Amino acid sequence: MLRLLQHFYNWGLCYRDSTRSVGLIRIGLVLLIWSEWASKLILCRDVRPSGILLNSAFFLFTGLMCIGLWTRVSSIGAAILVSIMFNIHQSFRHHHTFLLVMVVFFIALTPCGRSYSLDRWLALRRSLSSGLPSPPEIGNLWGLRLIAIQVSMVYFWTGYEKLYWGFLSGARIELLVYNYYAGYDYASIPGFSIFCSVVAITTVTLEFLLAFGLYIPRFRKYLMPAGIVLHVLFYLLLPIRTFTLAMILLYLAFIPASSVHRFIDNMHKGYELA
Amino acid sequence: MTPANQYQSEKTAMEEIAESKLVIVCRVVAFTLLTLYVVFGPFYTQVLKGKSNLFRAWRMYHTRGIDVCDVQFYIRHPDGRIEHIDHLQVLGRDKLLGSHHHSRRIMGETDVLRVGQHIRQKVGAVVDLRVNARIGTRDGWKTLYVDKHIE
Repeated sequence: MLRLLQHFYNWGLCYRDSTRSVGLIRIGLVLLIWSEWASKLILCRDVRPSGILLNSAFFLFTGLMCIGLWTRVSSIGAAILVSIMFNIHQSFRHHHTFLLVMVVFFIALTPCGRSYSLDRWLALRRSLSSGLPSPPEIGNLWGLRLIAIQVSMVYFWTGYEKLYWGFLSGARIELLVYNYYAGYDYASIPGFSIFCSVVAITTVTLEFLLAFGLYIPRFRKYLMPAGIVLHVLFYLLLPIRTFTLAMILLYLAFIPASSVHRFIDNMHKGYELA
Repeated sequence: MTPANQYQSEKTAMEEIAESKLVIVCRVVAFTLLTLYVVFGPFYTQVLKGKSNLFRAWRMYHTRGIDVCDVQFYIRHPDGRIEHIDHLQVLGRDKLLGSHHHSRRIMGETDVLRVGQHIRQKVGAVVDLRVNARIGTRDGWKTLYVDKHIE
């Protein structure tokens, strides 16, 4: 038991690696939150002084977080503001926005400004002028582990919620078809119910596999593309908004940060300024 | 080891040393609490069926499709012959297929009867217009009407 706890401690809290993954997630998250909320938070939507102040603070902190200026402070500020917005706006309270709120909070716990940020650019400029080598893009990524746990739990609990006959029989999938694609007589299509049942069972199986399998490198290379296909289908077939892109972005939490770093390095290999 | 790499490893080592025990303890406590919240938070709402703004469930589309109806309208002729009616054709299929899904679907008992009345106006008062309908529930389809006469 102690060894298991030690292993979990090392896995969760002693994960020092490249900050490029968290840098990418940081930028992606802000863009997703803006696409979800920004149109409802622009200043003309609430002209009370408190509303203007709060909405301005939202754009200021998330904007700073996106470009990566004073990132430690701006990302914590953004996490607090996003939580406030989520709680005061009834219309924001969806599961997909809750995921964004949680993940912004977790990313604020990492040194996400050490890569792809103005902070990084300023640090490079300082080191250049003082003749020192570039500062490292390395930090403790325990927040990235929390993101991985969060993504797993999204899969696990959504899978758990579907464990009843109404769903597994395919009936609930049929209802979704009738709800969103009404206009045809689906009942008359031979095998339609069986097809819906297969879709339902496949979805639940995949959700449970993704909940645990993404941690295992051997399974990850198969599960990740399968998960992306699943999310893209959700995106194309249902009004699911930012959820698909958020989940695909958060898959970065399962890929070793050093691999992401090397992958990006390799992409830039051989590039010379004209 | 190149100077750049040496510098990076030295800086990383210095950072590790610089982390005080208090920071590490705080991190352990925060990580444990947040992990417990993320893992077991939904347990309260999804397994124990509690209601809370603090502990949120991961339920997706669990109410979508409930009350949606699958209907079949038909005319029963005096000679016993059944003539099926495509209600979408009556309501204007081309226009409906291009419209929002809220306009295309039939939701609930009253909507079935509303569409029935619409068809009744089109087919006239003398014919024997009937409907079979089933309605979506959490557990799947439930029969709503069997051979119901539309007044």
